[in-house]
Amino acid sequence: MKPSNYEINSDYAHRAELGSVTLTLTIPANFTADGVRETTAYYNAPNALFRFRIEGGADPTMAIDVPTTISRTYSGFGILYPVTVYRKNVTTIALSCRTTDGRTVTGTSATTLRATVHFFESPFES
Amino acid sequence: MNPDNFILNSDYPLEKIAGLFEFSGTTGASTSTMAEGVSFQFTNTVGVPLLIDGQFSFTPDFTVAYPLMSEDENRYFSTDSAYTTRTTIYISGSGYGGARPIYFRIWGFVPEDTAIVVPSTASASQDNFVLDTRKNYLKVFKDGRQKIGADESFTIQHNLGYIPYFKVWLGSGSSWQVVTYGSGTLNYAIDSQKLVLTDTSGYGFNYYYRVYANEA
Repeated sequence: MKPSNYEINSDYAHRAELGSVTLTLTIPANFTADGVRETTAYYNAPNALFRFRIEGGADPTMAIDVPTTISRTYSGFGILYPVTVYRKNVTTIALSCRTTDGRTVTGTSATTLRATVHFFESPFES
Repeated sequence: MNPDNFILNSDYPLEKIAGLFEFSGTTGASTSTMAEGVSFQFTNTVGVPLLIDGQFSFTPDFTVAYPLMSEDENRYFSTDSAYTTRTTIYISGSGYGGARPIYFRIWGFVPEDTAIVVPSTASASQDNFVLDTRKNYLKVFKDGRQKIGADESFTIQHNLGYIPYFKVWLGSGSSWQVVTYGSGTLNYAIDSQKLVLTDTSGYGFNYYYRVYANEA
């Protein structure tokens, strides 16, 4: 079977989407070394897989589904921050941002990040 | 017609999961607090270079789970790269703070333009097949391969009127690597009309992109 053609075929799983949540996280102006900021939300789809998009920082139109570093040179921070969405427990999703490698961060203004998270059925045994 | 809704239409093929994999390993033996490089190789039983995505966890039940290209909040593991060939799935990264079990769940799609035949026995056929009109499914809106030269950009016009979900992989067909923003090879920006891919490697590579009809 060649799956590249359009078909309805029970040999290949199609995963239904189960809903979405939005997370908003404000990073303070002075974010200290190895600091972590995160915000969480409940979702009613235990063990669902997820995809997400993060907006904010220097690239407000950036849509991503993988962790990234957001440069905030415009606000005076001038270094990179890892940002990610992860599942904190079976019904809690988190948007987190942390500083890296012990570098002390000082800045001039706070920044808000917003993540839209879509959940979909897991094909794995939970 | 809004392609973001549930629809069965040959213009918007439903995304097909052609491979499912579960693996485990150990992040590293060192108890040093310094980062330690660690790599994993697993068999690709499908026999096709898949467009992969996935998650990792430190427990087999995946109660706490991180995107495949990620690092956990404690920095026990940070993924540097993940790619597949016809025979192998490679994942590399850095481990911190000593050895600990790590578990991976990987799923794979197939490029729409591939001429490779995927054996149905290697597919996700153990899963029950259901299409539910009350729910939505990932639908491929635009996809294709593109060579992007050094420091050049390529624009994919979608004109959906909203920001769609998308994925990008690096490779030329014999292997596909997950691309992450800011990883040194490619940056991307998307709005309600277009996706712009910009090479940042200084060398230029071939990419496979997939823009979905689903809102991001």
